[in-house]
Amino acid sequence: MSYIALANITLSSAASSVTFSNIPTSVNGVALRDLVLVIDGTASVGINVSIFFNNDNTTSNYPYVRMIGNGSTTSSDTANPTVIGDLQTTRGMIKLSVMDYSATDKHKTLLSRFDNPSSVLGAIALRWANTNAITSLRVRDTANAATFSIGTTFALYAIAG
Amino acid sequence: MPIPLGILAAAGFRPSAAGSYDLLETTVLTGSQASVEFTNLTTKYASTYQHLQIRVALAARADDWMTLRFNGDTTGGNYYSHILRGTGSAVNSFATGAGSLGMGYLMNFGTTTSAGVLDILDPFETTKNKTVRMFAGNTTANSTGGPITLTSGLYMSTNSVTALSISAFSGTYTTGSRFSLYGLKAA
Amino acid sequence: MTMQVIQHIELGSAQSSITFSNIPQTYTDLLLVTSIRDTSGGFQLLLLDINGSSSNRKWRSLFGNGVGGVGSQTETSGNPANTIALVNGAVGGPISVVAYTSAQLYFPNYSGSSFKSFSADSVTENNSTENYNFIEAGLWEQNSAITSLTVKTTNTVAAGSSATLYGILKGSSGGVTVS
Repeated sequence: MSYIALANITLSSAASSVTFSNIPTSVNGVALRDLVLVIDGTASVGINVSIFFNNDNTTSNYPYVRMIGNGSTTSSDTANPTVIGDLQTTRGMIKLSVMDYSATDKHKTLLSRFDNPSSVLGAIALRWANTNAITSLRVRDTANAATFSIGTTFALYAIAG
Repeated sequence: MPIPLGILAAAGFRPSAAGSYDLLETTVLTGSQASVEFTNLTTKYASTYQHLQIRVALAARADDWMTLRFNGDTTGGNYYSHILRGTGSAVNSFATGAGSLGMGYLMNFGTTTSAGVLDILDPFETTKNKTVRMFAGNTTANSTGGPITLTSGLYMSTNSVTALSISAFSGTYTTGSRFSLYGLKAA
Repeated sequence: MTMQVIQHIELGSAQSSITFSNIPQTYTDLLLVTSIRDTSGGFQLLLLDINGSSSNRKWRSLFGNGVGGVGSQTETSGNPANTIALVNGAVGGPISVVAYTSAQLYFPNYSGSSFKSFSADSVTENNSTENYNFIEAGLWEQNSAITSLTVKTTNTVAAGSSATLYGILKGSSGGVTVS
């Protein structure tokens, strides 16, 4: 089995953040390589969503490059480290892979696709500048002010490698 | 600390009887290497898998682009590539034919780690030319590179895919770089 | 079995569409991959009906055309509401080889009781400079569960086109906790 469901949550009340902890590097003897996180839902207001690994809250440790389309124009920037996409008050989704999350010899590269049909869509490459294996991840509003709405789902998977 | 993985033999990782997405082979480099090969693919996998996926996570190396050669075919005229990219300051697109290394410009390397996911649908069909789709990225903003890309390539041959060779226009892949091949079933 | 094939369809002759009906409601998400082409010349549209309908849709796209151009559109841009991307057609003009568009679509929570998001990435390919690498954010503004998906092109779906539908089931393992 190479695609493994690790954990999930459907919010029964609004939440300011969601944290997955105790992420293993193997399950049932199968070594794990990549994480896949799927977020589907809404936020209390339109927000950028940030990710933090292993309680590392130093923003500069998460450089990123983004390309987006807003329905009429395109753009690309590096202006918002930690950001993996956005959520709005209308339904949207973020699907990302954290590649080689269990490695201890390289920084971690994250690839994200984010999709909001009412605002923007695009793709992000983000790097966690740390060689430690990822054991936890937390997502929240970048501004740390808004909440993920009731019914928003977060599902974490791992891929063997 | 996980046990470092070397090159797993093709027969050393038996696909699970359950599930439709299987790890077939993984290579993690223990030294610099110019290319990574997946071979005998039709013989090993065509009877079980409909689609292939390659996932790569690369240690830092010099700025360059990934190339992909099919079946040892060095005829540049048999390949074409197209790129949609975000550079960190603009979004643009371009197209290119390729050379003896095969399908070029599939993934850009910065001087930091980079990663990508490459899909080949119906690689074993003998009635279709082969289309490649790849989503990749790194965090080195580069106006001439492509930190965040959706790229594509065409291999103009209806032969079943027997071998895939991943290299770059120049230089080597460095220690710790990982290349994993996955199969997706259709039944 | 986190990821399981539901059905694979490959066309032996040209058809009006590829349809997955009676999609089981036992998974969490759906992944649809398709290798597809239109019978007419030039670039055509890749279209998707959900539960037999092309309506109640919002979408937003980002694409490149291979010749330096990029763009972003919505469902108000003039293309049909059920547009997913552009797709290869028959050879003609500078395009002298037959190629199939490669696309993947992801539908989280397809059986839930809220509007349905989906994400689409697709690439046409050919031996000429013009092509379309396309990403789309989609929304089906219905609370019903998705029970069928119909993949179409502007005219007729060419022989050799294929589509594979997978179900993905969320779960728990490895001692991961979530809060």
